[in-house]
Amino acid sequence: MSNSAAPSYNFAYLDEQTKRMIRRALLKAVAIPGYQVPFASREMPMPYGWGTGGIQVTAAVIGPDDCLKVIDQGSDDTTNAVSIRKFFAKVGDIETTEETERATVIQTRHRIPETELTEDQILVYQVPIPEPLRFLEPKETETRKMHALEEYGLMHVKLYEDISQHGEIATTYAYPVKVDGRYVMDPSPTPKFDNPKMNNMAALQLFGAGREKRIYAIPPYTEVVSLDFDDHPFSIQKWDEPCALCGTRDSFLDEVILDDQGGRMFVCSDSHHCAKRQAEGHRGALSADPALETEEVAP
Amino acid sequence: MNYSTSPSALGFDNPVFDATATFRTVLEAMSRPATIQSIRHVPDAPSGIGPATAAVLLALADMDTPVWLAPEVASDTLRTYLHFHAGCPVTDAPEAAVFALLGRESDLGVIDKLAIGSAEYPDRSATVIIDCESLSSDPGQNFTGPGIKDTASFDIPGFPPAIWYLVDRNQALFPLGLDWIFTAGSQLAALPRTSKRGS
Ligand SMILES: [Zn+2]
Repeated sequence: MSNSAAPSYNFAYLDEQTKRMIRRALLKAVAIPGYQVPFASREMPMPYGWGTGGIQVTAAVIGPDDCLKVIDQGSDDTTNAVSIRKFFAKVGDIETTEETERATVIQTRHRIPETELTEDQILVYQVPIPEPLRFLEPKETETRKMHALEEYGLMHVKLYEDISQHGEIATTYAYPVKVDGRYVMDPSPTPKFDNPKMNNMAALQLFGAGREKRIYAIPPYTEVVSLDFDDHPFSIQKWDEPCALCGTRDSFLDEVILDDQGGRMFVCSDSHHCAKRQAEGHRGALSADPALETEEVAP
Repeated sequence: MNYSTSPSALGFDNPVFDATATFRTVLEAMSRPATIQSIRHVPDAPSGIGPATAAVLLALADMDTPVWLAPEVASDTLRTYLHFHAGCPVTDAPEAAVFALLGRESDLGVIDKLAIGSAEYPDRSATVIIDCESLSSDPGQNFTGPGIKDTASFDIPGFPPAIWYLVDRNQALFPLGLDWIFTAGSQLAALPRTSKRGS
């Protein structure tokens, strides 16, 4: 895109002063991994549940050379993902994609793509509740003090109580992590299945919470450890069967109800990953006959 | 101070896109400490500071961020330039500065007066920009920490070695502390407070 002729005022919706404020907060967030930097969240033309924090971070980061992917649950096709993609295409003329490999900025709610991210990518999370200690202590002044003093004992007690009640740590989403051995951070609302992907990731990870006005970050190649106990080590969800469409045993699966007779199947929640595997020829138990699927199209 | 005259240097060609590109370069530098990055769209800069320094200040400073200037760089030309293009206040009080700009000849003693944040708000700390002669990724100082895969080599040829003593002491304050941006010409490198210097 030409720099000189392009309309640039309020590029990507936010005014320049707001972008600078968010950018300064992002730089401090990167310098203090896992620490929640307050920022003056702006009203966005969509309700809070739609990820206004993530959208503001993306708007402050993205430029005309970027290619944006937006995922919700694991899919590129939900109303939320499609709306956010359209929003940036409209307010910034930003190129969008569903291919994880092509994207330079990926905005997500719930999932980290199954495809390993690279140094040339930035992952932006839209976060509803950024404070991992909030359920223990409602007052912001108190949770700030707890983070300042590294008072994470109560957090451990809560997790351990979980084990004594359920036989294992029942928390499956927003499972707390410790970043670079210092700050306890909420990766919410991603499933704990994705926690190990955050550790030593090559890509920069940025988190935006609009309603609670917090920005935090994990720099590339940073240690991210899920909290656990010697007698109850951290483990991720496992499924008894592989993906019904692509046959993988390594990805996060969603249960899909097929009929009202109790029929169901498990398929990859990362729709792009599943489609890519199927295109490569991988098949699951409920795939259509591969011979029928691969129609030759004349060039 | 009389600001009625226009600045002699023009600033960014395209303030919106050039500021975004500059921010991304600084974000990359801060995310991958001790790597040397190039500013792609440098602004026209006044004499006395390099184009990368000018780019960082125009991209990130504004009326909410007091900037402290070391005496060696605090020319009327630079004050007029910052007032006109960034709209940021220039402060005489180092402890109030969000950005502090030092030159290669500047007294490093001021570092001790800059804000390092508080236990509850470690982000309320200054970012130091040091305008240097050149930056080098030849084996010099080795760094480890978040953003660095194994180790990263970085050096500032000809710069007083006392800077490394200050970087070390600052690192020990984590999570409090300053964050450093070193510029030379149109290049820059950053050391967030997490970057630890090895032997
Ligand atoms: Zn699949």
